[in-house]
Amino acid sequence: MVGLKQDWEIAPQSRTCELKDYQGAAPRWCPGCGDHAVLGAVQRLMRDKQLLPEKTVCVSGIGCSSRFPHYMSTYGFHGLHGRAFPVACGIRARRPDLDIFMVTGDGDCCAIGTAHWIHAIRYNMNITVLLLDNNVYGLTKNQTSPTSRTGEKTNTHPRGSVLPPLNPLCVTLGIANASFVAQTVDWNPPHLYNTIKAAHEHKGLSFVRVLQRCPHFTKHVFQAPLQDLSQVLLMTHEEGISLDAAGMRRFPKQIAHNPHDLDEARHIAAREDVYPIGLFYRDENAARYDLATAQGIGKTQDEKLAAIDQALSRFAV
Amino acid sequence: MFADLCARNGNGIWTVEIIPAEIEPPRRSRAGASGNRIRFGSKPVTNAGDEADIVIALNEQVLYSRIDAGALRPGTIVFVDNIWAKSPDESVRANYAEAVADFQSRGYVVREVPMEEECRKHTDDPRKGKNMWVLGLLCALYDIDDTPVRKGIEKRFAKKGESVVRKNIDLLDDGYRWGIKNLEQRFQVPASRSEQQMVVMNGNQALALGAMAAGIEVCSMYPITPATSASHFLAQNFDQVGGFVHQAEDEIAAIGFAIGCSYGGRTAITITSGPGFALKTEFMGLAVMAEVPLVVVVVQRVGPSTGLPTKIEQGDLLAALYASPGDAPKIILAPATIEECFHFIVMARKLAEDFRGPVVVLSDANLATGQQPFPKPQPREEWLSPPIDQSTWNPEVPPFAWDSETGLSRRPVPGQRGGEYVLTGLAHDAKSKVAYESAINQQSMEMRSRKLAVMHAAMQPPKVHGDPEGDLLVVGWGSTLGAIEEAVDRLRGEGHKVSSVHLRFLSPFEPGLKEIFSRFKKVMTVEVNYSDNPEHPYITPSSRRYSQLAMLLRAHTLIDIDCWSQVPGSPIPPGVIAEALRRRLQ
Amino acid sequence: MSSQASNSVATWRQLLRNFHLSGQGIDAAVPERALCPTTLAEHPKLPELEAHFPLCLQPDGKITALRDLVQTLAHASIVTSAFHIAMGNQTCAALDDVAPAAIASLPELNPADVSSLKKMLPEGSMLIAFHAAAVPLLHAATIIAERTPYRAKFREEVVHAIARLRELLALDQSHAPDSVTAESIDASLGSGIRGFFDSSILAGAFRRPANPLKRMEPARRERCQATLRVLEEGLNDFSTHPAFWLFCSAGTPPGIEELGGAARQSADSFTSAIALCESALAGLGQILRALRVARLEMESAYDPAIHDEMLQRFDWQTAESDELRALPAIIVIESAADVARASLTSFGRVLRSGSPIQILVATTGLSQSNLDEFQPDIAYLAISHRESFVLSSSLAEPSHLLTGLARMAKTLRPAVAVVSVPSEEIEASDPWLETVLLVHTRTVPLYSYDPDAGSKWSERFELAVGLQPACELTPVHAAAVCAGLRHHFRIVPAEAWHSEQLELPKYLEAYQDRPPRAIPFLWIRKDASGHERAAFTRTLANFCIDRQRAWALFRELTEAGKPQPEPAVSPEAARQEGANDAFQRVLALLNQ
Repeated sequence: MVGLKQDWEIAPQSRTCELKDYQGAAPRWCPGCGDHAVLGAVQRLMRDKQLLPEKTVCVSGIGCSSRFPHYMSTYGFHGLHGRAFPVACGIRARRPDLDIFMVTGDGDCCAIGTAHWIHAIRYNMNITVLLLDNNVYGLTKNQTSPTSRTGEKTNTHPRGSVLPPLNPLCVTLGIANASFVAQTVDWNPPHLYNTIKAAHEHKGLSFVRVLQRCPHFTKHVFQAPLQDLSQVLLMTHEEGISLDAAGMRRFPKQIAHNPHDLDEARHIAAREDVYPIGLFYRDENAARYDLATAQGIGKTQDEKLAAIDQALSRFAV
Repeated sequence: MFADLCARNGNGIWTVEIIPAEIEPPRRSRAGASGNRIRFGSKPVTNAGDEADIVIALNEQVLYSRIDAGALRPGTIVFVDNIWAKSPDESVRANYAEAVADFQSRGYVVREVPMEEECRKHTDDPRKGKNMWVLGLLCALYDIDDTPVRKGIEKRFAKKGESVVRKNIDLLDDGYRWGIKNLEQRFQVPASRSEQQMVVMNGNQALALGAMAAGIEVCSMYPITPATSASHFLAQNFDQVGGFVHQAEDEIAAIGFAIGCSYGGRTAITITSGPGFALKTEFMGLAVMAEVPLVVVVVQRVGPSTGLPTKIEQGDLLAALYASPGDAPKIILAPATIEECFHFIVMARKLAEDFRGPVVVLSDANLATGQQPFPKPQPREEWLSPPIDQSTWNPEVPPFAWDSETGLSRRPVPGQRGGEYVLTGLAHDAKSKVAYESAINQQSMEMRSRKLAVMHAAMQPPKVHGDPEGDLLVVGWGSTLGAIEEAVDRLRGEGHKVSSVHLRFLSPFEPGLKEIFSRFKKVMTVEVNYSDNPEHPYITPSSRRYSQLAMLLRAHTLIDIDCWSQVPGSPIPPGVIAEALRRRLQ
Repeated sequence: MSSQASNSVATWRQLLRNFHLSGQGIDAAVPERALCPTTLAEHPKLPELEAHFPLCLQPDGKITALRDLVQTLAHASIVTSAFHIAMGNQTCAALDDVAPAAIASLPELNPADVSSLKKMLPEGSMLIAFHAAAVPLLHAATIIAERTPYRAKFREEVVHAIARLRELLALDQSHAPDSVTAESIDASLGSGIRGFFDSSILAGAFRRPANPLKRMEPARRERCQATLRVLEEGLNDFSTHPAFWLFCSAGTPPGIEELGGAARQSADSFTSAIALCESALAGLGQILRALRVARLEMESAYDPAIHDEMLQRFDWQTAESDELRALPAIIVIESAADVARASLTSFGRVLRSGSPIQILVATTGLSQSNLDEFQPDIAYLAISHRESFVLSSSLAEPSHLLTGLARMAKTLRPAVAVVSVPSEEIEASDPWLETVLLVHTRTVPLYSYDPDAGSKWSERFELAVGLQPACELTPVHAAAVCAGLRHHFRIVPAEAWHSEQLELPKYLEAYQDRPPRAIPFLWIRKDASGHERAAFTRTLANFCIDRQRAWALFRELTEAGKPQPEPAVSPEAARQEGANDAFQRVLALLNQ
């Protein structure tokens, strides 16, 4: 509290929130969908940090991923396809006191919403963004996504897609003022949790791509890295995503990577032989647009009236 | 400065900017005319008038564009800079001589004035000095005391140094002296100072000041002519009231950002023009469906498509009403004067919050750049949006607790414990849960529509300008108010039984329209948007396309309302309207 | 030597011995005016008056010597003199008033110089002369400059809290079902809009939807309203506060009102100051308590079960120091003589109270009373209280004084500044020289004691050691230039010179535990050239030794870093009403 001395710091009214206090409607995702794991991780994080449900907003676009807010007990904004970023930025602009999570999917973010994605990275407002990438449009029943692998057969490309996929990590790492870029997988709970936790703690736009299983349409896509961990490259560093010793031992391929090294981050992100997971890049000093937008909050009514009158007087004859 | 001077003296004024589409069009070209049209008088001036009485042309070629626009008539006095007569370029001299002869043959009174010549006595770059010199000339012509101008010059150019101030004052004096010495005619336009404190500004400035006065704190925009200057003004001044201007990456992001702000508790404003509004329509639908308050200003310009960005049209009414999927009823306002541009924003924010949805304010390029004096508004605390309420919300009251009769409900704001809900564009019930049952969809549509009916029930019928009954009733909306009323007054002066009504609310309509219309033999709209001329080939009653308001009113009242419209890109002069009305009366 | 002459020498010796021990006799040999010791004349550089005065006090609180402001001018010293003269006898004057006369008296300045001069003179400044009454002005200006930002910040916080509480109550009001009326709707729609609506229908419609928001509990609303009232009244009071309060038993010094202060005369200024301080702090305490309630309410975090009791126990002592600095300073000014005579007890009470009261004590020159009677060393006394700020300085050393005053302004403890100022006695021939010499002979040591600087003596105590010209100047020299003390000297004619007479340096060397058997003298300037011996009294010699030992003591303490000064006064004794007891002990120490 502002200005009160230590001896006045009383224990806040003890209100402990339990896991169920963060749970909204029962999730209607398919059994085996990776989204369940992400939902669980976010709810556990909120419980562990005792974030208040009424002070948290989950923003999403349209897609399976974007059903997320309905399954939380917080405030939510389930908006338009591809347009979660501007709404999340708008909420953050004048509400520095809220916690904002944004959940999007590979179509929502990397196809229709690309313009907003690029500029939101640049704005670097304090939002935790989770891109749930299952390499397909699931909700609308199996269309190719920008991140689908070449040759994947979908309803819009029954003979297999023709183009190489977009790499959202390379795109994000190429945008000026990016401040936190990470990747994780839905089937490794400790890594998933620690990544989301680090993302939440970072002050700026934290972009986390979660490789997410879709048991219905793209079951085969992430089968390999799930079973054969040598297809995953674990990035390690004391300033990266932490994992305990036991967790780390499971990964035969590891690389020490300093998240402040942008060039190396780009190299690793571009690798096609492995799925790198961990923190690619971090910059605590990137410019924050929400610090500028929040200027002026708290002007009193009297101050405003005086200013308006003065502004009008400049036009007086 | 001249308009300011006249207003200060107590004249009524109305100005129109003439803007070419390019920033630097070729000089001495007909299409490159840029300038100002000023109409001033002893009484309040409500529109730009008909043909000009006096034109001052810095070169004779641009005058042709004004002639083409029908801005001159026989007897108009034309002051032309005669420097071109002495140009070293023979073709220029020839063009000049030819043009002058042509003007005289058309019946204009041509006065050749050595503007540049005189200016060169004081400055090396007469292009910058001519305006000041001409200002002095005008003061002589209209016998106006130029002291306020001198003070204005001193203040404005003080930063640039004494010599610059001196130069400008010398130019002013020189023009004045030349005028006194050489002009035989003088005109007197008596002025009366009003006791009320007055302000002069253009419509975009009024919109911006209205946003400040309404306690709005965020303006989210994307640059688009002719709306941008309102955001520029806010970018300069919004911080004085703690506000912030966001320049988004595109029009869709602009409205998304604004909706995010509104959702966060403080209603935001987004300002755009027709093409921008077209992009925003999906979010407009979301705002209606999820009942998020928002103020959307559309400064209309000539369409379709890119059209004429700097010219006026009233072409976005139907788009504002209908251009998003399904049934998305919303409030639409249309200010008719610059004063209304200010006050309607205050009203728009209030209505947006109380009726819980987006409010569209339709302005246009004419209002945006024209200037008119009006009484200085007295800002009140009640106009300001209230502080964000973070009190605990009773969990038993759902986020869309539609009152069964009115459809109105209060909205929870993030931070209010007990009010947590997920806003969604999907069809939803009162708890904002996705509506899987059909009855819910029907009910929610009824509720959103009902709100407009409630507003309609609380409104007063519009006032009729002229007698309450007669032969012809003219209906208008937006910036045509002054021209229509002046035309109507002329016809009444000629003995015709004509009246007019000007609508400010286009959704819901003001009540009592059918009753008002039924007292006239004929009803017609006058609008600046396209309608088929019934006298043209192939245009029959069944193929004729009507003006936008006419279409709506025909459906609303079941009366065979006629329409007359033009899309010249400039405001329709009262004389032209009067002529059209006379024809319809026959 | 003739017997008559030797008789004369013998007579002189007898007379001188008498004089030396008793201070009487040989009245014919009393100097007619203040003496000019030869060491002084030969001595290179004592600071000049006009290098330091007049001082220029700028509106932002900055204080600089006028000579420094104009130093880039070719005729800087002449200009400074002109201003000095134009000020006349005033302690202080507005620069703008003095400047025209000063500039007019400088015909040799050309217009270009005049305009550069004008540019160098800060607008709205005040000139302060070398005068006893200057000290309260310098002190007040310093403390105002130090405290003003805190005042402004505090005021802003209160204004803000008031606005937020009003908003909170307005919001609460809007939760009431009957808060929406036709009038409130008309008011909120913008001017000229009224004609479009029937507001009562709108009001009816807006009242219908289910109201999810409760009103505040009445207890909370009352608390908010009461807090708001306290804050608003407090703000009102606050605006009527002067820049500082000044208490004195003598007349109000000039210039106080120009600086924004309110002066009150009272017989016992210390007690009055304590009384005002208590009431001002009580008032501040109320506002601070209200401010804390407001902050809690703004977060909706006020819990009567926890906070009611804590707030009851709240008073100004738990306030943050920044908040206390928002209060105008309370200053007491007295002369050393008045303190000693009348108010030593109340003086002690102020120091014990711990209240943020600032005390200025002026000691004027050397006079007979310094040598004869016991004069309690006020500064030393204050140090013995251990937890007050003490400054011993001199107006002749403005840089030390101003630095010390700046530190004094920062403290919230009781603070005492004992400042050596020029005497106003008519006999004083050169007040500047007298005052300067008191510093340079270390008769008045310059030091500061700041309890906030640390817990160890070495951290708290700072002695200015660097003020010593190359040669030895002693308190005797300081006395020599005082016209009022010339009866402690007798000019010894050349024929009466004798080896029994020891010149001062040697005399001091010989003085171990007891005075040597010799007549001390000082070489003084006689007319244009030549010098004379001026013998002086044992009293003066003892005084000299005493001051030098006191200085040595301070020096030792600084270097040795002992944690306590020699406890002349034990804490309990000092706290007793019988302060005189303690003073006797101090005297005993100094006179051993």
